Amino acid sequence: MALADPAGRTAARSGGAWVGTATLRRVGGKLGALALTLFLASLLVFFSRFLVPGDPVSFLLRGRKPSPEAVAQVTEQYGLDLPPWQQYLNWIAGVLHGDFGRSLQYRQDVSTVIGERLPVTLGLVLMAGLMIAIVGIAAGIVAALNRGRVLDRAVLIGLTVLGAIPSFVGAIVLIAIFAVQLGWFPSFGSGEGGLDTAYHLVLPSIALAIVFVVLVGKVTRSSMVDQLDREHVEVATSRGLKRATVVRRHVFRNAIGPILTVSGLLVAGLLVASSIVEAAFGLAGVGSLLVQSVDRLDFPVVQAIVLLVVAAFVVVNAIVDLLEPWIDPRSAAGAGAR
Amino acid sequence: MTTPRLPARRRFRRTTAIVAGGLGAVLALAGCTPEPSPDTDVEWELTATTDAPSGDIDSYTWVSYAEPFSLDYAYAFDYSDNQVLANVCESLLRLNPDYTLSPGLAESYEHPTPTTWVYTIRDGVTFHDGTPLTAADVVASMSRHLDPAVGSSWYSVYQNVVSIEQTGDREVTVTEAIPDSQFNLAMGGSAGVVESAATLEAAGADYGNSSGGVNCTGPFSLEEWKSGESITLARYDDYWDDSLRAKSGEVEFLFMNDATARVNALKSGEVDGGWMIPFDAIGQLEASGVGDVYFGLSTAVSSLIVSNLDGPLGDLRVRQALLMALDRQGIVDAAAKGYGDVTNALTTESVWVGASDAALDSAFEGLEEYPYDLEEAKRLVEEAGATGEEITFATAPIGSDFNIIAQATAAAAESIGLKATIETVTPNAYTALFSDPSAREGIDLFYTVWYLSSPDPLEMYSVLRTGEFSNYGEWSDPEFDQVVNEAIAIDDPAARSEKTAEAQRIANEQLPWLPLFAGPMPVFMGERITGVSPSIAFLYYPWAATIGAR
Amino acid sequence: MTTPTLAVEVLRAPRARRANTTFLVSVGIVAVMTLAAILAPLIAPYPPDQVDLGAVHAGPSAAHWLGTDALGRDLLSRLIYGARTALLGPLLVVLSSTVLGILLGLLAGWRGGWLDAVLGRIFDVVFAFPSLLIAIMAVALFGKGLVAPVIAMSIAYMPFVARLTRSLVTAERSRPYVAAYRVQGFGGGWIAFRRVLPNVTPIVGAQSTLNFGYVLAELAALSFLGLGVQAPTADWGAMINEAQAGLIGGYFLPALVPAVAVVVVVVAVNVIGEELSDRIGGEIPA
Repeated sequence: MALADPAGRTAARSGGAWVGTATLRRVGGKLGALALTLFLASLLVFFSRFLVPGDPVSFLLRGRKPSPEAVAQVTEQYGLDLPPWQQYLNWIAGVLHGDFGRSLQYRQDVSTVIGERLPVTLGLVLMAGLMIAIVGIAAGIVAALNRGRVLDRAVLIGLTVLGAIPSFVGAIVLIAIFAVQLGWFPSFGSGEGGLDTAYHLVLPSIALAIVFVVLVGKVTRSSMVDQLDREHVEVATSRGLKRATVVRRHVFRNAIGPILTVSGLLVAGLLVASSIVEAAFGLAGVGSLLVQSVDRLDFPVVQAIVLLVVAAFVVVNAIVDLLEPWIDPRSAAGAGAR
Repeated sequence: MTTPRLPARRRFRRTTAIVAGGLGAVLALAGCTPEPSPDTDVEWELTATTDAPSGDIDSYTWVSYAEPFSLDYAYAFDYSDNQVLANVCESLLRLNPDYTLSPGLAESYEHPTPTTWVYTIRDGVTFHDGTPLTAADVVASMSRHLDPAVGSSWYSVYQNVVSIEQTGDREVTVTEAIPDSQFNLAMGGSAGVVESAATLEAAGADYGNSSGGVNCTGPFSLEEWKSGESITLARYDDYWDDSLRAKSGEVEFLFMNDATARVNALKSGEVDGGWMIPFDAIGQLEASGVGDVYFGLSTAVSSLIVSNLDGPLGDLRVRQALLMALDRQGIVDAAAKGYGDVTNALTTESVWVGASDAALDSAFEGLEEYPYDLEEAKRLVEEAGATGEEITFATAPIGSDFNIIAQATAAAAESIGLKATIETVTPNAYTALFSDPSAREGIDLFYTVWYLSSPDPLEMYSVLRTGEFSNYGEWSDPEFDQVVNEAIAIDDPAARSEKTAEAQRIANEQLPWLPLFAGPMPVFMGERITGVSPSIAFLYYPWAATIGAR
Repeated sequence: MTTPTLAVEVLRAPRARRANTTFLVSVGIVAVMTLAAILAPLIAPYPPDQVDLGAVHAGPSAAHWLGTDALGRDLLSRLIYGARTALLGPLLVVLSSTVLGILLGLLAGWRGGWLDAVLGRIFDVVFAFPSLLIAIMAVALFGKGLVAPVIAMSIAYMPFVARLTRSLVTAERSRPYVAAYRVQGFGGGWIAFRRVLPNVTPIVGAQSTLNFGYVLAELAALSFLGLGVQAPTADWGAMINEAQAGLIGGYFLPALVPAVAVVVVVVAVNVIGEELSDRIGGEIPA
């Protein structure tokens, strides 16, 4: 039996061309589904406002001086005198140009308000993502390679305990121990920029990463275990290849598929969970802006952030979905192929 | 493909649970910390000035409890906005730390007729971008308050203004419909700020936010605004007033919502100073030895706003009873840790600038005292037939003082036969109580620390006239209205003060709001800096320029 | 003729396993918390709102077994009362999402065709919204408290249940006993509700209990953010929020007590859920 050669197999199936018509049709179909989901999601986000009973003006101006000028301004901004479908079109046209309206609390363009806070959140999510990837995958590999033995069980227990800790609990425990008791890290704010910011973001990233490390760790482990049981690995080992090489080239490379798929799900989870961590650590990011805007009844900002998060989630998932056959050709060739 | 289940999971779960439990126990034990016993007897005195700086300093940091939502003077209505804005933008007149008014951007003013004010604009003043200050800029800046599209928070100052015109090369005339002594007095605050007309035009709707910025005449210019994090001001070298030239090259304001984080930052030296120190932290800070706490003049009175006169509190006897059921000295001790005095007036003596002695006497001596007397209070409630009726108190977790006052008020109400409910909203939603009538629905009482921005107690009592925006309970007393309106028309401060004293006595008798106590304005300066004049005038006076190296 | 349901088949199998201590302990924990929630007024030593400014941040003592918080309120009492909102919310969410999900999944799986396609689209869209985000949006629209988030989360978790039900139903649909019923003249609806549904429900239900832990953590997080249960109501998430300020002063108990409670209950519920899935669940089709 030949060694696993995923690229070759796909090529053989689709008649030789690397990117054939079958692939294009697939990609087109996925993109179509993506667009449809995004469209439906945007409808949901926009029309959610209509679920609230009563006058839309008083809803949008809750907690603010309902002066005639404010009413006129809001009516104009939202096109409240237009029929609903037209209001939606205006809104979505604006959104596609990057115009999300004006923030009621900051008297500024929503895109500016969000844009100013994006770096902190992206930095946080990036650091957390790295931690999740490194620790999760490493733990999964260690567990898989030692499966059944003490190390495996230790890793699994560690992962399960971590997974039961919600991020806000993790955050305050980290603050209590590492910031207050030991004083190793700052407990508040995001620092001056660059290295100082990275230093300030260490504890928050850990808090954010905790829950998700479990997911990645477990998937890595089971995926690797699944691979380790396969014939091609046995064959490779019996051919005298070093264990490390076998693991690297045959086990891990084929195991990576499910890991990447899971990562797609992580994105939305990280973005949303960041609001909790940002609140706990006093970080001025998009997550804390969301909570603050709900609190201050600044609906345009809430609407914009929800749409952006959903869009990010859907797009990342679609990308992972699209890339799947190249990552894990067996799924393209049909499930169950051994 | 099926989802396999790992048979060995069961063993993991047991060990997992034990480990989790163990961790929990360890952490719980870590939480046992002994607690220092609280101080009950506090001593404090007012300081007018602190030691002058020995020299300039490159930069210092200052902490604020919140970020300004806007530095547009038309919307600068609260502590967080004004404490920054005061150092960057200036007004026609300058409000000093002792609450007297001096010439500012207007080098002089005249009051030729009862309804006109004529300001002569100072020569040689430049905006931070180098352009000169002209009378046209003054007109443009002031006119914004009248523009409905702007929706200025200071509109009430301009409510009687008919026209604002440039009437000379460096002259601006404001004409009012009726004689109004209060207008000019407000020109020391945000209502009198002058901004460059060109900047207003160019920035448009973005004026004052973190993209548009401001371009004013003050001792500092707005250098950087990191949204959600900090604002940095830089010394403006061409500032017109040498006596207030900034003694620091830069000031950085850091925003920290969390009170304990603020105190910690001050204690650790991470931040050099801050206004409005939480009262329960004053002891810690004084003991820490890393700086000094000073107590300055304040014009703020802590009181309970009666926002529903249709309920049980509509009866004066019930209001009197509630006030008498409150152990106000106990509240001062618990909420303000003793830093304050019980008061029966809605204003402090510090705002009665220019008042006659007779007026002060009439205004403060011989007021109804409402001593703590539960028996009498219960009797009043019964007499009013309000026993068993319900009141709702709105509060927010802004500080422990809010909590304490809410609990104390509810307890007091219950002790005299009323039923009390505390409704807690978030700090940001609490602010809505002050601007949105619908937010006040169902609320009978809420706490406020109401400060005045001009050296005249009429600023407080004009708010309580029939139909005024901030007359939250819609209290209406024709005699009170008449007294206040007459007073507003009197130009001479001494004569006016005697009329105002009458208004104060009526308010003290009728209790539209329930006065609790008045305390000083605390400020902390770390060991690197000195120079500030502790006073609530920090809202409008360029206090940051006076701070330099210790 | 009676058809043994999957659940019954599995349970009738000879018990090869020992009594599981972890499972029993978890059941015990959940039972104790539930009892605490129900009997709170009877067993809590103090009213949860009782402020005692003379005993602020007190450590554990005879008077206060777990100490007090920043307003001198007894932590043990607040822990007990907090169990109410901590458990009620997730219970409502799991129940409603399960019921709704099973019904919709049954519809989609049984009827197939365009109904399945439409429902599938709807599920896709709901899947695109992380549950916490839907809850936050609901609060933005309808205000703070438990009502809006509970309804929102029920909707958010419904697709998971529905998808699972749908796969199970689709698999069941092709089984011989279903064909047998049809031949005997029983209507499709009757077969679906009276024969297929009972087979499917235990598996789905067991899987659903796993969601309880997630929902609990998310609702607590929402209260921590100040958007769910409001202070001063005793709720574990809200308590942690209020306790944040004390952390810097070195007062950890007001935050740790509710935090440990959340973690312990989540672990316990997860253990129970996984055990139930083990015992009841059959093979879950792809």
